[in-house]
Parts: sequence; structure tokens; C-alpha cells
Amino acid sequence: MLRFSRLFLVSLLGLLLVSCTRSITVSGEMPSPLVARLPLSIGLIFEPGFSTHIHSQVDDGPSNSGAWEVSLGESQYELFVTVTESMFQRVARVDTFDCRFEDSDEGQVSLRPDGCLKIKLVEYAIGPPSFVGGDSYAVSLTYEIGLIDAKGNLIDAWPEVVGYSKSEGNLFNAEDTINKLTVEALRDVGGHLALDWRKRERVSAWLDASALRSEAKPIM
Amino acid sequence: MCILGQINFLTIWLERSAIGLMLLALGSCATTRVEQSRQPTSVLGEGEAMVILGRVTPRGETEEDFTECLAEILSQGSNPVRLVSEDQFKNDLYPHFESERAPANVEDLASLFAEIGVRAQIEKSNVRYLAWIEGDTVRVDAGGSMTCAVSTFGGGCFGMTYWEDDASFEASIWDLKRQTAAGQISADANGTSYIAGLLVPIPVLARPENAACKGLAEQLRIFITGMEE
Repeated sequence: MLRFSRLFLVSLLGLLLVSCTRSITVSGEMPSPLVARLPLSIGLIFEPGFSTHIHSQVDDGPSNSGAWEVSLGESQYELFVTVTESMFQRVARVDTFDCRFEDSDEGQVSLRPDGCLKIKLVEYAIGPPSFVGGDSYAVSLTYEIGLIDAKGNLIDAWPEVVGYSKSEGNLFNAEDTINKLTVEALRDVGGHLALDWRKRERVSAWLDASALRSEAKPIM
Repeated sequence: MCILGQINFLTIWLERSAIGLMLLALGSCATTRVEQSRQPTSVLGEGEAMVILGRVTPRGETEEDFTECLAEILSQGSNPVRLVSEDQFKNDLYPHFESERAPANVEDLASLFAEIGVRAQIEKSNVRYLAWIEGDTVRVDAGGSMTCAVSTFGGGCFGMTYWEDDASFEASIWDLKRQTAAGQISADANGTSYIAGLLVPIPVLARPENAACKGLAEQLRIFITGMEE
């Protein structure tokens, strides 16, 4: 009986260790960037489930940091809205796949942006110490950002907008470390969008042409 | 007689242990060396502030605890320095001071100040000096051995283990008003920590990082205000 009890306790402990899932809801400050506001109206097209996205990952490597469940959706949505609101005169989320609106689209008629940004999360990855080295963790985020004009033409496709952050941490405060790194990686992505996106050749040409064409049209 | 002998033995053992611990405590002190080079005109004006930022290098990021330690010391005392927090500064100037994007050297300040809103924001917050903190603490030596055992009759630890840490940090101070390098301060602290196993493990810890923080903070205070605490 005693042997059975010991076996049971050891098994239970093992099970607890194996089934340990670390859950994080990403939270942190996503400030408005200091950039020149472009005189354009922009619609934001997010892939389905973007604002509720939960990332799941299992680390069964040597550091065995367990399973991760990261609620990223709300923070990544907040980041893109905050950054684009500082970049453009008017911004609104639009329910279309290609930035085209039919005259018959009731309720959408007033939403006539100069163009749309189509934003898609390509990858979110947690690098555990066994992968990064030492006691360090790393987080990388990759997004795909497309620019579509009001006629539905793809102007520019930026396939890999990468945010990255790395820091020391330990198993006891790994959740805090991963949250901090995710926020830093998101802010890194925001920095690329705010400052680097407009320098892309096709984007720059489109912005110049759009600015010449007209003043910003109301979309809200 | 036998009991008296045992008491005598115990007294000698305790005396020797106490002497040993005192020696360990003396040996575990951290030694600090601080050096600086400065421009003669670098003194904080009235209402002006400083910001302390941890530098991110390919080797890693300066520990947040260290920059927080510096900020805590500098904002206290009879001669406190007006500080703008790292988070506030980075948020106000986002994304220009995000790790990969932050200016690497003082020559980059001119192009940074040309960016929309940067100069206005720095003038608004009245940040005159920016101190970039770079460095880390590394283990340079470790040795000894200690054995701990537990049995039905009790347990204990015997032996001694030690490790030596070297904390090396440097502050590069930029004058944002003049857009020049105002100077540099470096602090190195070295200390050996011990754990002696005398039935119970007795740790005697040196804190070289803390010593480096205190040394660097006091030099920064003199550097920025021209006065000691």
C-alpha cells in the first residue's frame, strides 16, 4: 500500500511538471509614434481572428520550459491601430478583403479610404534558453503588411516585418520575461511600420501620387 | 570531566568558527574602482533633467536592476538629480529609442533631432543629459566544495565553496542641448562570496554589482551637479 502511495505521488508530481502550461495575456504600453502624419485616409484589413489570437507552443527541448499559451490578439491589434492613427490623417477598420467598396454597400459607402493596409501575423515564436543560450529567452514576431489601393490593386507587399527582443530570465519569472519581450518585439514592429514602411520604393511612390491627387477624404 | 572536556572543545570550535567567519566577511568585501573623463562645462542647469538608459548590445542588455539602482540613488539624498524615467523617455520619443533604433553614437544625434517632433519633445521634457549604461557582471572564479547530508539522526553541511564576481559598468554621458559627448565614467567592482558549511551553511556574500552601482551613481551625481551628496 505504501509503495503504491509513493508511486502515485511520484506519478502525480511528474504529471504536474509535464502538464505545466504557462498562460500570458500580453500587456504593455504601445505609445503613439513621433512621426509626420500623412494626409491620407487608410482602411485597416486584419485577418480573421487577429484581435483574439492565442499562440500555443510547447518547448520539449533541454530547458523544457513547458507549454506556452500567449494571448497576443488584443495587444497586436492595439499596436497597429495606435501606430497607424499617428501615421495617417484618418484610420478605420474595414470589412473587405481587397479595399474595394461597391456603391450598394450600405453602411460602407462613407468608408472610402485612399488605400488599405492588409495586416497578417505570419509567426510568433518564443525562443527558450535551450535555443537562445545561457539563461536568455527571445521572442520574435513576423507580420506581412500589404498596401492596397482603393481599386483593389496590390501596391506593395512587405512579406517579413520582424520584431525581436532578447533578455535574460529564469524559470520562476518566465511569464514576466516573455510578456516584456513580446511587448518589446511588438514595439519593434511598430517602429518598422512607423518609420521604415514609408521609405519602401513602391509605398513612397504611391504616397507621393496620393498626396498630389487629393486631400484626405473622411472615412468615419 | 568528560563533559567539561566536551564544553571546552565546543568553545574552541565556536571561537575558531567565529574567527573564520570574520575573515570570510572581511574577504568578501567588494573593492570598487571608478574612473571618469569629462568636459569642463557639463553641469545640470535649473529645471534640467537627466535620463538613464540601459544600452542593448549584441552581447546582451544592461540589467534593468542596475539602471534602477542608479536612478534610485541619484534621485535621493541632499543633492537629488531630476530624472526622467527610462520608460517615460522611450514612450515620449517612440520609436526612436527602441533598442535597435536608438542612436549608437553622439554623431547620430543630429539626424535624430531632424526627425519630426524629436527636438520639441526633448525640449518639452527638459532632458539635458542622457547617460547610456553598458556593462554586466561576470563570474571570474569559483571553487571549493561542500557536502550536505541528511540522515535519520540529523543532517549538516561541511566544507566551503566560493565564487568571485566582477561587475564592470560604464556610463557614456551625452549633452542633448549641445549634441556632444559630455564624458564617460566607468566603475569596476570585484568581490568574492563564500558559503561555509559549519553544520548549517553560512553564506557570506559580496555584492560587487551593488558596489559598482553606488560608485557609479555618486560619480554621476558629481559629474552632473558638480557637487557631492
